[in-house]
Amino acid sequence: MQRVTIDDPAWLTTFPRPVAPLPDEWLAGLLLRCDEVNRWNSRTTFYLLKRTINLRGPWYIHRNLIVPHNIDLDVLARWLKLPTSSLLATTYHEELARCYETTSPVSRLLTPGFSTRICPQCCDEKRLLMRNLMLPHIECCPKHHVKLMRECQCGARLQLFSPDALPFACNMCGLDWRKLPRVAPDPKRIELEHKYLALYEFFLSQGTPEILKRAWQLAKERLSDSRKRNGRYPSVEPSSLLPGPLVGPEPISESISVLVAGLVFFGLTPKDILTYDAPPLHYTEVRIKEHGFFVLDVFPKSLISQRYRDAFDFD
Amino acid sequence: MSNMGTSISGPLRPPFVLQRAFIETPFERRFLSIVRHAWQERSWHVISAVPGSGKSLGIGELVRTSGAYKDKTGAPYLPVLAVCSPKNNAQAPALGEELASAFGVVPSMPWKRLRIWLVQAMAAFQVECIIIDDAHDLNRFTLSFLKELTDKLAAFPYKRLVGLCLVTAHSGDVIPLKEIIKQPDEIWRQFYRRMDKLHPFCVVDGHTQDEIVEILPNFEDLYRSQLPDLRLRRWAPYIYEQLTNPILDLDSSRRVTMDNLTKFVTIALGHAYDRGERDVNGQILKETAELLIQHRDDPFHIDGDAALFHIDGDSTNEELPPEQAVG
Repeated sequence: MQRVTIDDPAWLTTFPRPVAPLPDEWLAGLLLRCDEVNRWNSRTTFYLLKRTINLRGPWYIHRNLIVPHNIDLDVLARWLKLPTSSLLATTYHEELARCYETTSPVSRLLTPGFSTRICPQCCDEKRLLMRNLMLPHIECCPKHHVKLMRECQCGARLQLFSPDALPFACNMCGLDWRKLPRVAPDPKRIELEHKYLALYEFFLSQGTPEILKRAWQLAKERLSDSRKRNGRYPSVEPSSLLPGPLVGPEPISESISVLVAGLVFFGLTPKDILTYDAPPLHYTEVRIKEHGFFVLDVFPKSLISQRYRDAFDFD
Repeated sequence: MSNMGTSISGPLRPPFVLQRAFIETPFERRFLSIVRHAWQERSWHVISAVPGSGKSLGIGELVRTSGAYKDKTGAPYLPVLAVCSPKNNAQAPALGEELASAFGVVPSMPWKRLRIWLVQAMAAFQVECIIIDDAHDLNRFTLSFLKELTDKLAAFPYKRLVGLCLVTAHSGDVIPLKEIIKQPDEIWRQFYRRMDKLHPFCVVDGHTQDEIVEILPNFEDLYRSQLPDLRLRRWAPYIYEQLTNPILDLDSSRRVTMDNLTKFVTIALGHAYDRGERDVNGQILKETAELLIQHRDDPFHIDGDAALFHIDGDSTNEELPPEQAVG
């Protein structure tokens, strides 16, 4: 329903100017667009939504933007006169629910955290924040092939929601994100990210617990082979690590982004996973040291607490 | 007058159902014509009528048919922004919140931000006329905020002139707000200057006897299914005489309000229906007049059967609770 007429009871239960999600749009971007068309500050819709729940304890913004476990999307759907399913599609709730066969997935299953990165060109054209911008290792816009920006020209780190800023603008200097420079990335980086995206796309569109298990086994098998050949774990080049720290709590080893990092490290593709003749091995029987390699080395060390590293007893 | 041959007997007759529909009465036509004039000409008026005339109903109907919409892809449209004045000598922020709520779900925001947002929203929604119902509750603070709001809309960059209808209830010859607006202070002189040159203060009168004759067929149509032989218009002179009784016509205007007419007719029809009649008769109308005019304020002693106030849909009155039903 694109139009709400005044004789519709929904007139009083919808925002003055409701918005509808764009294809591949991320929930954070939708909330910002809602703020912008209604001429509100950048976190108005988000905080209005947050106030609808009675939550005790800490509340992590990013977790709810990936999987809305502490925000009520039904309320937002009513304010926008949309089906809740269309809002769920702006998160990774359904994808993670399928991958892990759970009705209440958590965001850590996809990524331990994220930092705000935006494509100036997407902001310029459609005020669009794509859903896959939150995925670790994605540093270039897959559509426009420009570097995603983390910082404003004034040096301030970009923040999705800031009470004193306009939507899609720097909270320090007020610069509209569409005016941020377009920086061409290294072609090798684009090629590398293409591999990441292909794997993310594969897991998020077709992933099941069985496929994840096979993928983990395949990556660990490659690691074992490499260790047998060289007598030690392979060294990870700094250039292949995730640039810059992520914002968020500690990662968990089941995270799809950790798995994707490991698979890319060994040059594995979705086709390799599908054709892999996995030996019978329970997911719980993983070798802890090999698992630790992916979590601690291939994924950025900056994320890992010492306590967590010690738990792996990794040499 | 009762004709037993035309009555409907039977214990299973369902309860009398009140019909709710907007009737475009002569009062509504008069009232809406001045409001539409204000909308079209962007003129400012204080429009007054006695309580119960049907002002709020008319405003609601005008807004409902104004063509307003919110669009997810294009510009929204709310040509007539109608709100009810905040009560209890409210200040400007209360009126601001009332105006904001007319747009739908609006988060609470500081007053300094809300007053800016309102101007932006009214421009974005292409508001052409503001109607404040119960405007007799406005005061100099809320009135001056309305002036500020409309001034900002009229200025660059919006350059939008909007009509303003301050709809008040009055009694006697005193028109509310006139005393404030006619004050010599600069702000009120500016306010008065913005008002319509010819008819800044309007009083919309109630219904004459001829107009009652015109309205009654609408009730006949509405209640035909319950009272098949209903012919109300023949009773128009009697109804008019009763409703212009000084007890109901406080200002001795010899005009009838729609509220009084509706009450009189629906009470009479309800009584006729309860007695199994197919039409009203003189006796029922007489009893209704006595009830409304002479005995309305008599204390009503409530005793005995609570089912006297049975409400439709009250399941407790129709079926036993489960534990009793199975026992």
